[in-house]
Amino acid sequence: MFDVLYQHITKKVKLTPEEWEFITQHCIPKKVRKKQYILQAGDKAEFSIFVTKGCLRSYSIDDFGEEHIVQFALEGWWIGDTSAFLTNEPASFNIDALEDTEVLLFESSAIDTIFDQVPMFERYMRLLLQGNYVAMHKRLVSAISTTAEKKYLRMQKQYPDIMQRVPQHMIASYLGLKPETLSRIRKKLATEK
Amino acid sequence: MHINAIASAEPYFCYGIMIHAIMKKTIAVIGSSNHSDSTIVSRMAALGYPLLLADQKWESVKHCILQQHPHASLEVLDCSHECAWQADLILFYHSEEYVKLLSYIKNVVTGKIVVNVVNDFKSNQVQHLLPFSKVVDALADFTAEVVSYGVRGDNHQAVEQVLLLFDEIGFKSSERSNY
Repeated sequence: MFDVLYQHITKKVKLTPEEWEFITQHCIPKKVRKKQYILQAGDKAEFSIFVTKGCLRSYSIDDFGEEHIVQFALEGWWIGDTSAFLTNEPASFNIDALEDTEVLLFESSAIDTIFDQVPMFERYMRLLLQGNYVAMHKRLVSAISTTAEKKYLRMQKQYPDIMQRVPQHMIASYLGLKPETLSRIRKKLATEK
Repeated sequence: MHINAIASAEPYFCYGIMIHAIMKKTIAVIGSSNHSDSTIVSRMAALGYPLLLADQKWESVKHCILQQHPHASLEVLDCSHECAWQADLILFYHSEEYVKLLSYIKNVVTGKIVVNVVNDFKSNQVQHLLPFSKVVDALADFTAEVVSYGVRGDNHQAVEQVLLLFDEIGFKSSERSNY
């Protein structure tokens, strides 16, 4: 249950056994079934979520009822409505499970407590946020300046696991494409091979 | 599966406004299934709490509740550990085997509220056995006309949440001085 998190943290920083034990005492283990929500837009974003098994997605819904997927999270990924979590405002995103999933939930107060006792965890979080900033920036540039085909190819290269496990219409939503457009791109790429 | 029906209720749109049911916490019920306990379970089910009942002896109670509340989300599972893992809050009924049961669920209830329903406030080791859970003791008072609960615990926020839950399901409840 905790191995995935331990590996993820110790890839970036070193922890003593006592520090690791302290972290495990401050996270909430939870199992979520396929299609079950962890967060709904409008609710309080109580947790930062680490996935130890399965797959989650976060998405918003526009005025026409259309879903816009912002993030997928497989094993070893963090997910949450960070903005709502940090500002205490109601969540803008829904987060639900695409597969039966196991997660570790961190309350804001628990993260603060861990920061106080385990300075390396703060460093780990800082490194995560830096990585997250770079990835978001790249995604923004890609969204406004790259062709649909290039976006798809980049995603295929960057996230092969997600491409294997997530339905095509959700990939299309993540890339900001209509499912028909993605289907056309896939056909074109298949004939070019 | 009943459990997914409410917990996964899709947000929907009405005149351009997004409507969604506030997500209810999933509650695991571990332990006894006598009459007073099934009243609590029935009321929580009626209010839309997804319930996981950790014993086959709840099966008959489940059928009765579903007859009264066909849209209730409740499921009987064989395994207390599985129920506790999937739940946000655990309603734990004291039994003779409680030490064994608590050690079985201990690693999946870290950080969760465990409502320890007791017959008296005297001998109580649950917080000691679950040091990283938010244990809230609840003692029913059947002497009054309306059943009420005395509630106490170390974690003030957890006590508040349990008081709100009992109020919501129609039991008078009040905080008792702690230990």
